[in-house]
Amino acid sequence: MPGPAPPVVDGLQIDQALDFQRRFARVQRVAWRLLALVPVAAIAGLFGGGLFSEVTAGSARAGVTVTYDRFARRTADTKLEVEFARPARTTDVAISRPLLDRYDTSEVRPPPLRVRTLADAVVFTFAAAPAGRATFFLQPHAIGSSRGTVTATGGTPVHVKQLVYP
Amino acid sequence: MEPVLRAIGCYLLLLFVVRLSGKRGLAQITIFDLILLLLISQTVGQALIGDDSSLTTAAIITITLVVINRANDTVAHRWADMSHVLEDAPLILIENGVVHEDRMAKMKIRLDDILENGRLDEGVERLDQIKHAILERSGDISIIAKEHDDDGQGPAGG
Repeated sequence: MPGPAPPVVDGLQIDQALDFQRRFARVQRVAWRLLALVPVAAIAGLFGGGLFSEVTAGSARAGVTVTYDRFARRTADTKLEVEFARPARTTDVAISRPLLDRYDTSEVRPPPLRVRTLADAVVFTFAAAPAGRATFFLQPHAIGSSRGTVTATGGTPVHVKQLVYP
Repeated sequence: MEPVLRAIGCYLLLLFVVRLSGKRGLAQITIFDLILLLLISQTVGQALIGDDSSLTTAAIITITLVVINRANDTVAHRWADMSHVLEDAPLILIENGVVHEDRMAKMKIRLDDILENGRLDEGVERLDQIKHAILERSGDISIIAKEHDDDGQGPAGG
């Protein structure tokens, strides 16, 4: 039997499942509020690239400050800005492999003079830029939490943590 | 594996959003619904395929979607509760000539909508000629006119 026979209501044989509809209407009301929050959260930066999504890590002691998005989306461009506190003739920036291996590097601006790949880090050597800053344009290809360190010549490691959405 | 996960993800996303958006959903397509439909299909289509436009991926995604849809139908057929969750239930808006205003307000349906359906389906001229109006699971409003009931026949064609 393909299901029970629907009851007859005022001559109509129909299963309105009114209890279910009442319960579901409550779920819908709550869900609508949550759905309405999604665009607001996106503007705020909960999904990357919003008003409050950027975070700056590092200090004078670290010799470098790193600005990046707390959240990113897989295959969508995200930016990692490295600012040197003590611009020298050349500056080495080491990004730990566990972090960098989770991204495709689409561009580094200004172009580094040299890139060396070590066992645990990739070292980018920059000429003294007037602004003392380098920007990495990255595309995450791994979902989840990406963690690692950015270290400039003579500084302490700066911890970077980004959550990547699918 | 990735195309399968993408297909499942997109299917669940659409199921979730469309079911929660209310029963009128996209069944009765106005011009704005059509625009919405085009935009959604364009947006989700990109996420579904990603940057892999190979025939193999297209085949995997198509087959996955058809299989999920079949599973969905099977679940809805086997369990009445799941059928309501996945496909909703009909709701009587006009019962023996009595208008359930609270239900219409909840479903964002106006008397105009019911009368329009009455004109289209049954050639009904006025509200008092409508015996029953039912908001179906598809979002369509079916109308049963008083005349048809009085002579004991089903609705005549045309």
